[in-house]
Amino acid sequence: MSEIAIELKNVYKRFKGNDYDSVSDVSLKIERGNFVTILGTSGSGKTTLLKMVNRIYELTSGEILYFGEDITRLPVNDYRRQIGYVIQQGGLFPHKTVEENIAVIPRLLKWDKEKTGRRIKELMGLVRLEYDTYRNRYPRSLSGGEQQRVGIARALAADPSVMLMDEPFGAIDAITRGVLQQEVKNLQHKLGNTILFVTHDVFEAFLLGQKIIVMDRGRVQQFDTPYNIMLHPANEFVKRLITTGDVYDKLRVLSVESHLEEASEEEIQKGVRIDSSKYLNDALTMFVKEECSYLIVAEGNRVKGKLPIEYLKQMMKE
Amino acid sequence: MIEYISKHYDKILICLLEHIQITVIAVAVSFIIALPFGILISKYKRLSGIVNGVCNLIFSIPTLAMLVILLPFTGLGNTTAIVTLVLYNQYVLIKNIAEGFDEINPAIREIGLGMGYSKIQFFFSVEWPLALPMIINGIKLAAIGTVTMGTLGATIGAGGLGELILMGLVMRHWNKVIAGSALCAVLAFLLSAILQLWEDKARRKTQGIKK
Amino acid sequence: MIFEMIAYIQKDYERYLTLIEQHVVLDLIAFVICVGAAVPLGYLCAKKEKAAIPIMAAANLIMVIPSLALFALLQPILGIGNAPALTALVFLSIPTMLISTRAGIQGVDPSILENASGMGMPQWKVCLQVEIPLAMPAILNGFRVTAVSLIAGTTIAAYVGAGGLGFYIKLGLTARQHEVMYIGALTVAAMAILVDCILAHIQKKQIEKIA
Repeated sequence: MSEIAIELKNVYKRFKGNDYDSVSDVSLKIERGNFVTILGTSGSGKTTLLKMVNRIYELTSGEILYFGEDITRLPVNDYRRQIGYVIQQGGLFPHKTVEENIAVIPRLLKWDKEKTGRRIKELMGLVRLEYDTYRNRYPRSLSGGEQQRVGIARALAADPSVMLMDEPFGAIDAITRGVLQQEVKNLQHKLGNTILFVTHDVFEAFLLGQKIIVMDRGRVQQFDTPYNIMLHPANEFVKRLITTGDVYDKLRVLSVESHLEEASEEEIQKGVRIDSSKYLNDALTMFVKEECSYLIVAEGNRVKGKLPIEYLKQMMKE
Repeated sequence: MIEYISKHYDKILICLLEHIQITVIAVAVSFIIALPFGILISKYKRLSGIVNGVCNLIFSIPTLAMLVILLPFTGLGNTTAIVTLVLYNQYVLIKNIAEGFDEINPAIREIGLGMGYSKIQFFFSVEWPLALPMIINGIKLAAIGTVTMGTLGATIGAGGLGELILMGLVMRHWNKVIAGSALCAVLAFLLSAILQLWEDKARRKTQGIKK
Repeated sequence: MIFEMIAYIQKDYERYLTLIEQHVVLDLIAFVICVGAAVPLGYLCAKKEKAAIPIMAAANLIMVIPSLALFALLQPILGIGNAPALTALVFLSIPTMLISTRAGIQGVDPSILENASGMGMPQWKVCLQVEIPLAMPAILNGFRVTAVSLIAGTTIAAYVGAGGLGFYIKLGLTARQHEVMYIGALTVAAMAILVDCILAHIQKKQIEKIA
C-alpha cells in the first residue's frame, strides 16, 4: 500500500446557525499521486469537504491528516502554501500580470528572482501558455480558458504535493472544457500530484477520477474506482446518480454505431475494441477503464469504424 | 474685478492659502479617522448599521448649526471649522472606503486565503490596491465638500476664502464676493481634477489596463 | 445654558415660531420648485445624451460653488430678502436632485422597457407607469439629500436678509449671545434630522414595495 497523502477521520462540519451537519462522519484515505474526484449535487457537502482540507473552513469535529500530521497543528499559512488551490472563477488577481499572479506563492516563500523566473517559464510551458505572449498580460485580456490555465500554473508554482480543485471548469464553454480536462489529466500523470477535484458533472468525475467520492447530504455514499461505481453502485442514490438523468438515458438507448468515423490502419491496430452490439453507456465504461480517446467498433472481426470520445462528451453536454 | 484682484492680491493670497491649509488638514485628518472605521465595517457588517447611522445623523445637521454647536467647545477660529469638516467627511469617506473593500470579489479573498497569504500580506498586496480607486473617489468627494463648506468657517472667524465672500457681502463689495467665489470654485475644480486623474490611474491598474 | 435657552424662548416665543414657520415655508416652496424642475431635467438627461452634456456640466459647476457664495452673488442682482434667497435655494438644490433622478432612470433594466414598449405602451405611459416607479428609490434618495441641504441652505439665507432660523444664529454670533445661536442651531439640526428620518422611512417602505 502506498503512502497516504490525506486522511480524514470522522470529519464533521456544522455551520453556525444550522441544525444539520453539512459534512457528516467522513472517513477516508487518499493515496499519494491519486486523482480523486468528489461528485455530488449542490448542497451535498462536496465543496465544504474540500475547503476543510486547506482550512478555509475549520472542521467541527474529527481529524484531517496531511502525510500523517494533524493539519491543525501545522502553521496554517505554511501548510496552505504547500497545497495548490484552484477555484471556479479562477480568482486571478486582476491588478497583477500573468507572471505576477504565478509568482505569488514563490514570493511568499521568498524564492530568489532567478528561481522564480525560471519556474514561471517552466509552468507556463506546462499549461501551454506561450511565455513571451502572455507573461505581461493582465487577466482581463484573457479568455476564461486561458485564465484557468494561469490559475492552474499559479497553484502548481511551489510544486505542491496536493492540489485542491473546486469545479475549476464549471464556468468554461464545453469545447475548451474538454481540452482542459484532458490537459489536467495529462499534467497530473506527468507530475504525479495528488489531486482532489470537486465537480457536479458525472461525466467529468468519471473521466478524470482514478477514484470517485460520491457525496450526498454530507455523507460519502461511495468511494471507489469509476469502474466499480458503475458496475457496483453501493446504494440507490449512487445508482440513480449514474443511471438516471437524461444524459444517461440517452447513452443507454443509443448504439455504439450511432456515430462512427473512419479509422486509420494504425488506429485499428492499436485501438481497444468494442462490440457493435453494445450501447454508448458501455462505451463510456470502456473509455474510463482503458483511458483511451477512441474505441474501434467491430462486429466479430469486421471493423466498422472508430468511436471518438469527443462524441460522448458532446452528447453529455447537450 | 481684475483691478480689485491686482490691488488686493496679497490679502486674497492669504485667504487662498488659509483655505488650502484648512482643506488639506481637514481632509487628511478625516481620512486618518475614516480609514479604520471603513475597514472595520467592511469586515464586521454588524457594525455598519451603527457607524452609518451616526455618520448620516451628523451629515444631516446643517453646517452652520454644527459650527455653532461646537463653538463653546473649540472656540472661534479654524479649529472649530476643521472639526466640523472632519465630522462631515466621515460620511462619504467611511462609505467609500467600506465599499472599496466590499466590492472585492469574494473568490479573490478565498483564493488568497487558500494560497497561504498572511492577513497583512494579503491586505497590502491585494486588498489595498483593489480598493484604492473607490477610496480615492471618497477623498475626491470629501475634498470638494471641504472646499465649498469650508467657506462657512468665515462666520466663526476661521478665515479662508469664505472671509472674502462674507466681508464682501456685509460691505456690499461685490468684487470681493466674486473673487472669493471664483477662487473657491477653481480650487474645488482643480482638486477634483487632480484626484480624478489619480482615481482613474488606480482604476486602470485594478482592471489590468496598462499605462 | 439650557435654562437660559428656555428663558429666551419663553420671552421671544412669537418670533421663534415665526422663524420656524419662515424656515419651513421657504424650504417647502424651494423643494417643490426644485423637484418640479430637476425631475424632468434628470429624466431628459438620462434619455438624451446630447442634452445631458451641457446640463450635467452646469450642475457640476453649481455644485462646486459654495452656498454662501451663491447667496452673495445673487444679492446684487435680485436684492435682499426672501425672493433672492428662494432663487439661490432652488439653484443650490437642483443639481443633487437632477443627478439622483438621472441615475435612477438610467438604472432601470432596459429589457423591462423593451417589454413595456413591446406590449404597445405609449412612451409617456412607460415613463409614468414603469420608469418613474422603478427609479423611485433613487429619486427618494434625491428627495432626502435635497430636503436636508435645503434646510441647511435656508440657515445660511439669513446672511442675505431672509427669514428662518439662521437669523438666530447670525444674531447670536454677532451679539455674542450663546443661548440665542444655540436655539437656532439646535432647532435647525433637529428639524434636519427629523426630516431625514421621515424621508428615510418612506424610502425604505418604497424599496420594500419594489423588492
